Amino acid sequence: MVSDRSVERLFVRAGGERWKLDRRAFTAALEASLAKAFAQQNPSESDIDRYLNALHLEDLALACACASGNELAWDHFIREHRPVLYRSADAIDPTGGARELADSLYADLFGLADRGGERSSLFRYFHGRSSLATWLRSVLAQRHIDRVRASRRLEQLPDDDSELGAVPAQTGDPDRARLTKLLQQAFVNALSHLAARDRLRLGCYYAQGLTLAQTGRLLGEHEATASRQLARTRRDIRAGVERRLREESGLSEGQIAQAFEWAIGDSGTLDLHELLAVPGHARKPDPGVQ
Amino acid sequence: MKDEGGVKGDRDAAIEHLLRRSPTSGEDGRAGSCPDTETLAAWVDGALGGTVRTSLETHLAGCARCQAMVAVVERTTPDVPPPRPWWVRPWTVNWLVPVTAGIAAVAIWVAVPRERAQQPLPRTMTATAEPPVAPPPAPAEQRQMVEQERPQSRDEQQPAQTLSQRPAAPTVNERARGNLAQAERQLEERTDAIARKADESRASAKTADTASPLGAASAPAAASPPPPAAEPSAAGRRELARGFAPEPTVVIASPAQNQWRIVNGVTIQSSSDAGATWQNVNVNVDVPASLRAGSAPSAAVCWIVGQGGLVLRTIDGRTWQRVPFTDASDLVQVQASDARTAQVTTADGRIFRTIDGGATWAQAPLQEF
Repeated sequence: MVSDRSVERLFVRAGGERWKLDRRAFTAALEASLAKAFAQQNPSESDIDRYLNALHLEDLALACACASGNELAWDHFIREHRPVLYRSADAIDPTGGARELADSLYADLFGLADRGGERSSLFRYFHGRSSLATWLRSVLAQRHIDRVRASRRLEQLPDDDSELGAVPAQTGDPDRARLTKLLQQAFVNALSHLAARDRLRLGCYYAQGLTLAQTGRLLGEHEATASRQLARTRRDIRAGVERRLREESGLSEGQIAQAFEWAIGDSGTLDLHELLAVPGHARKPDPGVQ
Repeated sequence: MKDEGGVKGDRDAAIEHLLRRSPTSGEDGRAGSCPDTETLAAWVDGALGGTVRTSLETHLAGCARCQAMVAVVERTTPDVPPPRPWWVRPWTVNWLVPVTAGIAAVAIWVAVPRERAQQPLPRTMTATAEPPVAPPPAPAEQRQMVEQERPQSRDEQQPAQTLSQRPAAPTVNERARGNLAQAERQLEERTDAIARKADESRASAKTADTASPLGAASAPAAASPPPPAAEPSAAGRRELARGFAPEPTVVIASPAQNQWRIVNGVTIQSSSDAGATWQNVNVNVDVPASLRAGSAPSAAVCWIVGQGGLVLRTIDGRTWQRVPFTDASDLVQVQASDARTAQVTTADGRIFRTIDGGATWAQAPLQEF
């Protein structure tokens, strides 16, 4: 799949000689990366070249060398990447709770659990598409998120009042309950008409609590652009809500104003994830490093 | 009656309120199968493009789990330093630093001998002779003395600083240590030479006083410039030179508010308020040697290493034990992962690791981790 000349060129660029990396192992890693990226596709030569040239080749070579148990490579990994792992763990949980996750990840990377006498390292899931540091942080983050979510599922108690999108606290005023429910439905409808990128921006900023700068960095935007886009999206949502309440629910301007006013005073739970989720898809077990 | 702008503002606030009412961590994502970790990492790195990126963002917009994951990754991204002002950019520093250093060197070259002659020496120095009362030397003689003293006065300080501020780098090889020893010997020789020269000048001054008929009258005039309080002995000068460059304070930060620091290479202090206040720590261990470095992987665990194979450790933040080490090598660096796992670096660059709290050390393959 990859020509010998390309392998040689990429091997030099990757600094594979530094780890005395076996060229066959490196070639296998490149082909695994290609197979992952172009599954069930027929990429052209230029597509393959572009893809291979964009890989984080040095990190890929290091991962290959570590996966094969190269001591020099492990020494380098410990010096350069293990602190990254621990810093990330400390950033995730400053009380040190994520350290054990980092340690278990480290053990998985080394591949202590041999199968049939062969080293089975987590590094086999690294294909060089991202930097090794980001990949490590991502695996750690994923494990942390899964652990948190699992613990929440265990702790969650059935409580009808906390159901998603529930009608707000009962006030004894049937008109208030009706208007608030209509407003929420209009809100959900407006959200569902947003572009995916706008919903993602809202999710990052409101649901995940990222700062404008962090949200912008994730979406490849400047902080000021993220701020402007959020303001525009809010305006779009408001306009959509007003239109729906006016045209489909038949509310008067006074009722619409009243509904907005009550919405501000309402503190009931409203799960943005539920509202933003695309219906009709069931979650499947994640492939790879899940 | 509110105007249109006021109404829109209120409604925008209501929309903002609705958005903020969502919890920061949601339920299971309802989107299709989640992409693999590396694809998400590549998206965080900005390495995806075209349809792959669009489809991934569509998934992220509706999947609470993946969204939470990329948010955590973003939060753990090391801060990128902001753009530096022009005067500290590397290309500027490249010429600014040497030029400034050159100017400073010339200024010190001119100023230091004069200041040294005028400043009284510290009281801690031991006086070995009466203050000199010799008349100022002739200009030619003065120049000669200045030229002799200049390199000496620098050498007195610089090697001493080099010795005391030994780098905490993991590899200090034997050759570097040989150079340091050589510098120390040169320092001793030069300080001895200064002392001898001062003794000679004092002796010649006394001879001149007794020989000159104007000696008694000229003595007060000669003594009128502020005389040095005391001339140090050669040993005193060495002590002075060492005293100018105390051991640097090494601060060992832990992930929590707790911090430790090493002061002057022998005293350990702790802080429980992120360094606002410090208290001396009684380690209950004889610390004969200089402490060099430390590592605190958690709020209660701290490892400190020093000369002569000294390894100290606390696992509760209060009590310290000396951890046995394989030999008496000078240890210059330690990197601890927890109370049981640590890696130390000797002055000659060897690395030893323990995974059992120091019960055993091994210069072993890295796989032991």
